[in-house]
Amino acid sequence: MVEYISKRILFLIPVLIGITIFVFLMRVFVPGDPVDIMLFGQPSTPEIRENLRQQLGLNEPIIVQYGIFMRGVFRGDLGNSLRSRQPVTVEIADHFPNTIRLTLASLSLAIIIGIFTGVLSAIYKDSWVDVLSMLISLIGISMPAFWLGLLLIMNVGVRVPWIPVMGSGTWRHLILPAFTLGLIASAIIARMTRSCMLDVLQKEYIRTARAKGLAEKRIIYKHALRNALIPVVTIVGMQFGYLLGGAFIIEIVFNYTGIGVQAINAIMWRDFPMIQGITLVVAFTFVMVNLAVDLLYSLLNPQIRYD
Amino acid sequence: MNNKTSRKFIKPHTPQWKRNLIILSRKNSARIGGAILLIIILTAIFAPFIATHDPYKMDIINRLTPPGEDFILGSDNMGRDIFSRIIYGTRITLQIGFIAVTIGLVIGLFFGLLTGYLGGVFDLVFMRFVDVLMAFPPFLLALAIVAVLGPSLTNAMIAVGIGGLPIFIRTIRSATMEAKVEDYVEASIAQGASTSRVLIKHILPNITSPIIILVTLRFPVAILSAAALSFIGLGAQPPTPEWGALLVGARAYIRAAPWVVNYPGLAIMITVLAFNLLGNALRDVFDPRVR
Repeated sequence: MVEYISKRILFLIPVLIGITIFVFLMRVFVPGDPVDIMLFGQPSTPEIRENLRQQLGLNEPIIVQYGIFMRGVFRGDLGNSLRSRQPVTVEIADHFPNTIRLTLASLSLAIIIGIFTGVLSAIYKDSWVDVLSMLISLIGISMPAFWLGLLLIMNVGVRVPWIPVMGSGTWRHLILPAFTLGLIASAIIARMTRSCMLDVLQKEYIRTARAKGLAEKRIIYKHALRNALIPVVTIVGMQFGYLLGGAFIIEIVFNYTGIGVQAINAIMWRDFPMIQGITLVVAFTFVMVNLAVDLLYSLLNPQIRYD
Repeated sequence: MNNKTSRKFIKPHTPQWKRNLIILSRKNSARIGGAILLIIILTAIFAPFIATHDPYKMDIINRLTPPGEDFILGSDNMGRDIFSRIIYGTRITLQIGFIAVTIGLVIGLFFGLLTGYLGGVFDLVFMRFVDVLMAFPPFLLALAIVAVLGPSLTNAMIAVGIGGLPIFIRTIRSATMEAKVEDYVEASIAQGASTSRVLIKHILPNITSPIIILVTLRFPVAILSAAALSFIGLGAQPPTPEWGALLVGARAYIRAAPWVVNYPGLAIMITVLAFNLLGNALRDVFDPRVR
């Protein structure tokens, strides 16, 4: 167990280094001169440009530039936003918590709705409950999240005065965006829960439990659900990433102040330090969440092989 | 789900692929999904004959007209016919799916076959590279690539294609690893066949099922991601009638003109649904583990 955990963490190091290389290369591969982008709209002389190049280390060999970039990463210095002139880390620290809040709220909703629906479908397999919820979940998987967001604004937001349709700040501002993302993610979790549950319900230990004369409720919640949820845990990590990505678009729909709105503005303005900073922070977060999920999985499932 | 129909009589000595096709054609989800897709493909081909208006023609006097005689599904804020724009949009949507999936498939086949077959150090090192790609949530990987390449429809397709790369490589790699230990592969190697011959003649034909399933199920993901990129202004640029792009700015007319929001989204949903139905049916038929 300890060996597994340390191995898992050790394997993380090349991935983390890989992420920093990817993010560093983003700027290298951008067509055009970064100095042009930085001086956009400002008068410049060859001297100013040369000074700026020196300052940014753009005349150094690539590998040295990567070294400078990495030194910044370790110091928590990702440069300044070209637009607001604020340190990138400050900008991210201001907005990322909002996005995480939205992601976690939608993830919780997705898990609750998804598992509940999935279990219900599995227990009443082929009944109208099952057919209907699987039909709805199929539609949910096929819906563009931003469209569902617009539909919710149109049908709920406009009718229910105490639910705000735009902005951020209070828990009420979270309701519509979190439901938008949560409903769509719950569709995937519901289908997964249903098939795992059906799988488990055919196992011998369930038959044994039935033969023992245990109450059906006890069989389902104590024996079946516990085992069926183990594989469901693995997709929660993936779902976190999906929701984090989805949050970027949903923030735009609801004008919710988070890192997604910032990222998209940064892309429009070609604000590269900002884009790099956001990419780096999001990837690191996603990797850490997946690590946590893997460790949780190995705790929950004693059958896992540690190799 | 429907075991009764799939057990119905199929003539003996029918080749496996034909057998699978027969089972597939008996599944309702495959029938519905396939039929919708056929309609969408025909719509894309015959768009000029189906559309009632020029999809680019603005008509400011008739802006935001409700659905009715002049405009079947209403007009947008520039007075353009939404129905005609959706009809022409089928071309773009199918193209997005096709190009994005092809990018993933071609690159995925090359590296997936190679790492799966060669194994060893090459596999170990290369898969760490794939791990790095997997460290980004898929949509954000696409977003990062668009950030580098710049916003355009072509770049969105490339970005979505690369975003799907990890899953293509991993699926093809693991299928290859399973196939390469089969007797017929070892026999061929023993006879002195070259690596490329073994890969193309013996392994590739035997891993088509997971690839077909994956391709079908990647289409809807690609269409959704590209629509999302267009919606936030990083994909198709105005006035292209891409479905996601049709919803840009629609938020402002939610009260006054709900049809601007409703129909393009519905078009995306129906298309994605059709691919999902077909993909799920294919998976049920071709994946022995599910059957």
